[in-house]
Amino acid sequence: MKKIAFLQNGASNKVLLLMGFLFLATFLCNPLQAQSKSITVKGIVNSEIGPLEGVSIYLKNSKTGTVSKADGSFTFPSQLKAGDVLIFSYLGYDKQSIIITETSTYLDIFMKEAPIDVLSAVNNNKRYKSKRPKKS
Amino acid sequence: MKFRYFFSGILLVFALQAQTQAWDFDHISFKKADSLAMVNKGASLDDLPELVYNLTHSLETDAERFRAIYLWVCTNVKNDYGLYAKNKRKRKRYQDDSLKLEAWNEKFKKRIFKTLLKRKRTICTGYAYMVKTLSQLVNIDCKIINGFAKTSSGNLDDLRYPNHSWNAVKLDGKWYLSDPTWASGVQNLDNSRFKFDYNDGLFLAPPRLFAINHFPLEAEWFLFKDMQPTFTDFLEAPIVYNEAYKLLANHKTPQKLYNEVPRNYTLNLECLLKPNINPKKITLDIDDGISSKTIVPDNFIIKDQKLYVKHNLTKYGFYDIHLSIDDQLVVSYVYKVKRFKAKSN
Repeated sequence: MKKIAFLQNGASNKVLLLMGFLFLATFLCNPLQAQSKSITVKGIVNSEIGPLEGVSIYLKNSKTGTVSKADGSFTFPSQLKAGDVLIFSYLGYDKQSIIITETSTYLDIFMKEAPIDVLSAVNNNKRYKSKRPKKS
Repeated sequence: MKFRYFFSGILLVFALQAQTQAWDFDHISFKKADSLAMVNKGASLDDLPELVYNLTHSLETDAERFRAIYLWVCTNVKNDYGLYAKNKRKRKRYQDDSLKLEAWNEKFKKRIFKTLLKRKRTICTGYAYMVKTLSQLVNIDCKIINGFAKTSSGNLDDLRYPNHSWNAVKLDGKWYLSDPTWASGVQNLDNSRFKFDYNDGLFLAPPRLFAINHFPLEAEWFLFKDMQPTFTDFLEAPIVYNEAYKLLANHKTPQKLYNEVPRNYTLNLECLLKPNINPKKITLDIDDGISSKTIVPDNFIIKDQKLYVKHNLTKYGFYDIHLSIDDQLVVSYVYKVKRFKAKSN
């Protein structure tokens, strides 16, 4: 008797599993298709002073990347998929993150200069010497 | 009763917030982070993502990642005295003309970044910018804090306009302060040369000690809410040296650099030492303008990491008094011992 109940339970578990799988499949199907499509990303990096050479362009959380050429152009060395994030970074400019979509085959990036005030104080560890009154 | 617990809970939170400093991470070893900073010594700034990847990819915590970045910047970027002097001159000249100041800043900014990229030389903002940029590339929340910094020159003319930048970084949900410029090394003003000499005391520095010579433009970056110094307090504060950050968690009294006192006044000094600091030697250098003598103070005790120093000023005169702990210059005061006229009615 116990065995039958167990078998029945097992069968219903299987049905549940199958249903769960179908349910998941319908949800995941579209993104799966989208993710499987690889995209070649090209583009240009500009700034106020024109095309920017030497901008580091890399895929977030990886070491894959490239740098922009003298005319600001770049071709990302590996195929990307929708949802990937490309980071553009260059000293003195604000970093930019671009989320790749299926249509991101050509990126026109404008890098903005970092808004900073250039300040400086030098500490030399020299012993303090007070300005004494002439008569003390 | 419940309210009492509630309020003591809030008080505890404030107390904890006020104590965000390097020894919060005593349970983490920075050995690996430090060795990664050393291994990457001399790396170029051409590719920041690659640099930050090499510095941090094998580290597990944000504190270690920040440490590797910060130490790398401090030990690879030089202070450029020429740039410093030029910027100081121009900013002083344009301090009352915001348009000219802005135009200068825009022009100079480009030069700063070019020099940083090609020669790895910069001034304060460049250090703070490097630490911020590299940290943000590994998703560590890090900011540049602008404000006023009081150097050992004690020249108050330098404090008429903001003159320094440092960093605030958020680790494990708490904000910490660090000063990569001053941690990096020492500038020799006589020959304009810069010497790398890393000072670990300015890494996640204790906020109350930091506030004695760093005054942020926005008060929230003191990182403590009770007893925040006013700008006048800051201007009048004693001179605290970089070495102090290696030894002290806080400096309490005297709160002023310049003091006028009667004869036989007892100088009362109180500092809080960092955990694990057990000084062997406490000395005072007393300079009367003609000669300087090093003495052991009349009395000093260390109790619960609090250092109390007492010394009687028995002679009239004008003295620069410097406290050294284990031969490291920590803090300076000025005492004028004078006759006080009796008040007449």
